[in-house]
Amino acid sequence: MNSLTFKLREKARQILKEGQAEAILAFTEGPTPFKPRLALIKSPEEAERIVWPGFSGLNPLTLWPKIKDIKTAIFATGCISRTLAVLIKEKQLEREEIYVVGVPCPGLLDPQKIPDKPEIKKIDEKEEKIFFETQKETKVFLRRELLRETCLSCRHPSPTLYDEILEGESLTPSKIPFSRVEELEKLSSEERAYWFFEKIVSPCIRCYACRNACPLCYCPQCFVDDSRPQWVGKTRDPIDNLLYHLVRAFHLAGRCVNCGSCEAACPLGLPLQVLNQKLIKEAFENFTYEAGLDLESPLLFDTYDEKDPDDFIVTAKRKTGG
Amino acid sequence: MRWVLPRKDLESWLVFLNRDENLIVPDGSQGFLKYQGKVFLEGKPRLSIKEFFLPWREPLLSFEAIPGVIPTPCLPTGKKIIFGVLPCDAKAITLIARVYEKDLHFQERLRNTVLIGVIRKKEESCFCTAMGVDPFKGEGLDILVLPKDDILLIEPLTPRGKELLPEGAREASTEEENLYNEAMESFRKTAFVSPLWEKLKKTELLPLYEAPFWEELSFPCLNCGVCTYLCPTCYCFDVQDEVVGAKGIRVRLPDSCMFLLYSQHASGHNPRKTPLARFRNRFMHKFKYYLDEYGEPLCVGCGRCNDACPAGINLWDILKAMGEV
Repeated sequence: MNSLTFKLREKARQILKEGQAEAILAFTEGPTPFKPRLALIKSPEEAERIVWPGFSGLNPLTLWPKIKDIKTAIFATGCISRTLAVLIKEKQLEREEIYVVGVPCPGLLDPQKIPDKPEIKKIDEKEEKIFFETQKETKVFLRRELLRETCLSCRHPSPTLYDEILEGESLTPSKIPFSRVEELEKLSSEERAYWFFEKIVSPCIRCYACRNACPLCYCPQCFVDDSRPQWVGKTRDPIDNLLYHLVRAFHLAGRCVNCGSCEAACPLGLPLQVLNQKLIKEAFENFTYEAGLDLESPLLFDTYDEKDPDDFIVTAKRKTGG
Repeated sequence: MRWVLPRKDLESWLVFLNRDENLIVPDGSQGFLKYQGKVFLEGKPRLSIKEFFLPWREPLLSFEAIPGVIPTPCLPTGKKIIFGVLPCDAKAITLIARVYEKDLHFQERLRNTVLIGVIRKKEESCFCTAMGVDPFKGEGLDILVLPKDDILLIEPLTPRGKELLPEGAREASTEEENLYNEAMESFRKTAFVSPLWEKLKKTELLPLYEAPFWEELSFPCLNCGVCTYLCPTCYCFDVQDEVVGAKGIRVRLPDSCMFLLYSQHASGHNPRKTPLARFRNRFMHKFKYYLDEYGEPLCVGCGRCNDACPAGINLWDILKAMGEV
């Protein structure tokens, strides 16, 4: 068994016995090794179902609105704890409502990165190695070969907020957090527009998996669902698709914690997180701001300083300068 | 009678089919596009052929906001040939066609689209036979192609299919006919129709609707539209007016029962307000309401929903629970 799975089960049993929480929101064994499934675990016996998510990039806090009137514990990696901090600061939940078990994160894996996916019966993770058991053989991959793009760009793999923390080693913080964005920034504006249309705008089918998988997309009524007034068309018209993705990205500016749940949820594997990473980069470079690192500092949009850069305001001079 | 074409001549057949530049093929693992010299027949394209019958944007009529001006209906024009169709996808179109029996736009597209199916290797996610689908029957198809080693075994199923046989094809020899029959027999030997259908037809509606399992099974669901949009049988739609100034076009587009807005009434009331209610409706529609109405489940077992669900939900967990009521 995966050593993290073992640790999570042990901790879950302990929490449910000792009563720090009445339930645990955790991934459990799913229909296939690639598809662990979130569940609310309520008894020490049920804790045997818990698994380390491995190939699921879904942020469990996206199901938080479904949990009511029960003190719940959660296993929080770096990005999950940051999500929690943003939700608490945005008054979506109270710190006391949730018991947080920090998990130093070794990084999650991308099923799309497995070369010629064989029919896999079992997956095991042991530190830096990932084992795939097929009917005939066991294949071994290195963790870093299969890491998700968002995990490769993660600056905070260790939890920033917790009641207790599991022992273990986390991924080395990324030295190239914005590499995907920087690649695009090298292109001309025409080339960037082409990239955006080809990679995201045209193929998107508007299933809203990215929005629904995002724990910070919690508006009771999303702007795309408004009908009076209707802000955006509902077909796959490129302009409407573009508007949807841009507005969603901007709505997460200074809030997105780079968990990549949106990208993991996309049924077409579109590189959606790149849009958010661009705004994470802007917030970082202009305001040295990173979302969800603590509970005390104000939200990005709650602050104002006279020294804040204002060169993003398009002036006639900047317009002609391109 | 079946026909044989060497596999190396596939391209010239595709060029022949594309003589009116209206050939659609699976062009990669994502879905079907206009033929541009590439054809993907190895795996299951993520999107089905549903979009050629229920398009992402179907203009229904154009209108002007002037009193007394009668709207002009729009009808889809042009013929299409789709090559490389999965037999389960074609079967799905026949299931939708029953509901859209009197729909002008759907029927017009059905009349003007030729479907050429290609049997693929069964994947781990496939379960068409459990749903009572037999790919070798070729329901909804005009031609069925079985690739076998370096030849394509071709079976025309309709008169218009016969007209599109490749020029270079020859009649299959007895040996080649046997190759086809053997492949069919060995597939059918392992086929197993789920006994759930007969049982569910007899299950009472209300106990099923009120069963306690919905709460646990719907918990992980994000209520996104992945399953419904990828599903080759989900046919629900939305109607929108695209208006500029005084002129407008009324369009039909896919909708998903997973969305809150789907069941929102103009009054503000929403009969399926909870995520559970929306989740339940999707499965009740497929495996009870449609089943009761037409005698078959509204599912062809392509497995796309299970493959793509971001929450790891598997249809069989729900089906098994429904079968136990």
